[in-house]
Amino acid sequence: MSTTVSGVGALEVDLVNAALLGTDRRDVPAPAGTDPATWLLESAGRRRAATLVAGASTFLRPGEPGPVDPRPGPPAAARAILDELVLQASTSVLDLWLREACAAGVGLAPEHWTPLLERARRSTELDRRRLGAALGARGLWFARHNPAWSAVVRAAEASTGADQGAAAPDPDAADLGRLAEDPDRLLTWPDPWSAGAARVAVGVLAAGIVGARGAQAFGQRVGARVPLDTYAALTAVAPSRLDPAARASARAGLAAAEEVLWARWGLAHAFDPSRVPPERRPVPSVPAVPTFQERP
Amino acid sequence: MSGRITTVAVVEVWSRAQVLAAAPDDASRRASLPLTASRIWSESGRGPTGLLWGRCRGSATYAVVVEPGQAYACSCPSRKSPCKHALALLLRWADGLVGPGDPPEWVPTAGPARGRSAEEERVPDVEAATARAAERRAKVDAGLDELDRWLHDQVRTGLAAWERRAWTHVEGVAARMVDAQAPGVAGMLRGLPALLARDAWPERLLDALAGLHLLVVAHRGLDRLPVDLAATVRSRVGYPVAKAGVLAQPPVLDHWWAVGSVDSVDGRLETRRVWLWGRTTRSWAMLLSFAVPGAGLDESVGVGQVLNAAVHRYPGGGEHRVLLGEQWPVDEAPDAAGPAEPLAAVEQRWALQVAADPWASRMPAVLRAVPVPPARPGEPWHLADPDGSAVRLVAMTLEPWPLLAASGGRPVEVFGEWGPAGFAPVRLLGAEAGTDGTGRPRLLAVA
Repeated sequence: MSTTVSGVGALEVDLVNAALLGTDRRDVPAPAGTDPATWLLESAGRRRAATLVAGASTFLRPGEPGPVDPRPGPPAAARAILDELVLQASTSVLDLWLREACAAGVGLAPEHWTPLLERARRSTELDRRRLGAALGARGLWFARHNPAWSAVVRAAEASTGADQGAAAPDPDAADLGRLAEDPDRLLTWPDPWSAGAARVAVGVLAAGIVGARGAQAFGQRVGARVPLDTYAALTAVAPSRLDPAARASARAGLAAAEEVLWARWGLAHAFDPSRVPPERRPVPSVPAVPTFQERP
Repeated sequence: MSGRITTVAVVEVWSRAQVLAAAPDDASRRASLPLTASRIWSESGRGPTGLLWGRCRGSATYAVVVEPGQAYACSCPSRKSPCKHALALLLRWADGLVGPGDPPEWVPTAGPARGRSAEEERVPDVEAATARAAERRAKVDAGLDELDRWLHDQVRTGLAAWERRAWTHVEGVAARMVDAQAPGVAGMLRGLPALLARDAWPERLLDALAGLHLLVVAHRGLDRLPVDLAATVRSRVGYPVAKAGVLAQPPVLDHWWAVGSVDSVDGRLETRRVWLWGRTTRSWAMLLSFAVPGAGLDESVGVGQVLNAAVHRYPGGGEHRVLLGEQWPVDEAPDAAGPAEPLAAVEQRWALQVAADPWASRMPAVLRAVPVPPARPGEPWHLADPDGSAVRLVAMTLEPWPLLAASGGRPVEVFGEWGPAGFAPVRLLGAEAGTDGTGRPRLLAVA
C-alpha cells in the first residue's frame, strides 16, 4: 500500500532487491555466524506475516451513490425474455424489447445493464437512444463509470427525454401524396406512430409499391412502429387486385410487418399480462399461383 | 481355470465420481489418476460376478483383485484400502476399459481376501501404524531438508533468474517432494510460476519462498507445536487424513446454509468447495469434492440449500473442511440473519485465520460493502465500507460490473473468499439480488 512507514518500506525494498540479486552478490545485515540466505528467508518470513494479514486492505472512500430510479422494474416474464435475448446474436428483438419497456414505463433491471451496454458498444444496430431511455438516470450513472462505454453513454444521453413524447400527428393530405412516390419517407416520421400514420403505412404496404427486394425490411420497420392494435387491420388487407410483382412485394411486406407486430404483442403481454394478444393470422409471404380466372 | 458360473450377478458399473468417493483420502485419489494409463496394465479383466483383476506396473508390478464396494486386495505394501492401484483399476472399469474374461490363475477363485476389506481396515494395528508413521516422518524430514537447501540456493543465487525459466526451476524439486511423501509442498511449489504473471512478482515470490521455509522449520519442530498447529503443518505438508478418523471427531450440529460454491482446477483434478454457514454456531464449514476433468463434480449439496446436519471437522487450527455426518429433515425456515460482516470484522477474522494457519490461502466471508470501480482502467476494484476501510478485489477474467450495477453505489452483501491477494467475490446475496419469481433468491454471479 502506498502509506508504509518509511523505515519498514526501506527494509522491504532491501529484502526484495537482495533476493532478486542473490545474497552471493548483495550484502545483507546478517549477524556474524548466520548464513545470509537463512537471514534473508527468515526476515522475509517476518515481512510476509505483515503483508499476509494486511496486504489486501486499504483505505478508500466510496463515491456518491447513483440516483434513485422511480420506475418499477420489468416483470419476471419480461426479464426472462430479456435473459434469452441477450444471449442471441440478433439485436432486432432486443430493440423491440426496449421499445415495449419504454412504452410500459419500466426501466431495465440492473442485471441487464452490463450485457446491454456491452452489446451497444460492439454494435451500432442497437438503438442507443432507446437504451438510454431504458437505463434511466441510475443506469446512466452506472454506465459513466466504464470508459469503454463512454461513446454509448454520449449517444444515449444526447436524447434522453427528447423524441420520447406523444405520438406524431397524423400526416396531412400533401404528405400522403408524396408518400406514394417515396415510401421511405414514412420511416422518418417521429416514433411512435399515430393511428392515422399506421393506416397510411399499412396502405403503402398493401399497395406493393416498395421494390420487391426491400419490401421485407420495410415491412419489419413498419411493424416495429405501428400501434399494437393495428394488428387486425394489417392482417385483414387483401392485396388481390394487383399485378404479380406488386402482389409479391405487398405480401412480403405485410408478412414481415405481421411477424414483428406479433412478436411485439408477445412482449407487451410479458410486460402487462392483461394485454392479451389477438388470435394470430399470419400473412402468407409466398404469393399464391395466379388462378386461371385471374390470368389476363 | 474357474468353472462356468451360470448365475450372473448384476453389478452396476460405477461412475468415476463413485470410484473417487470410495477413496480413503485425497492422497490416494490423486495418486490413482496417473495409474489409469493402459500401458501399465496387463492381464486385466472382469468376471461375471463383478470381480475385477489386473497387474499394474508402477515402481514394481502389483497384482490387484477388486470386488467393487466389497473387498480390495493388492500386493503393494500400502495399508490403505482401497489402495491407489485398486482405485486405478476401478477407474479403468468406470471408463469401460476393463473387458470381460476368465481370471488368470493368480486370481483367487473366492475373490480378494476379506482381510483387506474396508471395514477391517478400521481396526488399527497400533505397532505397525507407529512404525509406518515414523518411516513416513523420516522420509518427509529428509525431503524437507532438501527443500530447505533448495530454498537457500534460490535466494543465494538470486530470484531474477526466475523471470525466464520459472517452470524448470520448480518441476524437479516438486517431483522430489512427491517422492518424499510431501504432496502438499509439491502443490505449493507448482503454484509458484503463476506468481510471475502478477504485479510485483519478486515480493510475492519471496513471500512464498519464505512461507515454504517457515513450513520446513515448523515441521522440524512438529513434536513441540500445539496440537492444532501441528495438525495444520501436517495438513499443509500433505500427510493423509483418514476419513474414518475425521468421522470419529465430535459432531457439530447445526442448520448449515450452503452460501456459495467455488470450482477450481488444481493440477489434474477439479475441486469444488461448498461453503456452509452454521446459523447457531455462527461458524463456517467447507465441503470439498474432487473430480477428474469432465467427470462432473459432486452436486449433492446445492447453493442455497439448508442442511440440518452434523458435520465433522478435519484436524487443524483454522481448518474449515468438514465431512457430512448424520442428517435430519430441515424443520425450520432459514434464519434471515446471515453471516454478513463489516469489513473491519473480516480483516480481524483473517488475522486470526493466519495466526492459526500461517499458510492459509482463503477464508469465506460475506461482506456488506460498496463496490468501487477503478479510477483508471486496469487498476484493481475494491469493496469499501462507507467509513473508508476497503479491500482489493482479486482480478477476475471479467470485471465485476454487474456487482456495481446491483449496488447502485450502496452497500450490498457479497459472498466470496478472502485471501492474501484480496477478496474474490463469488455471488451477491440479500435483497439486491432480487428473487427469481418463485420467491427464491436469484443466484447472481458478480461478473
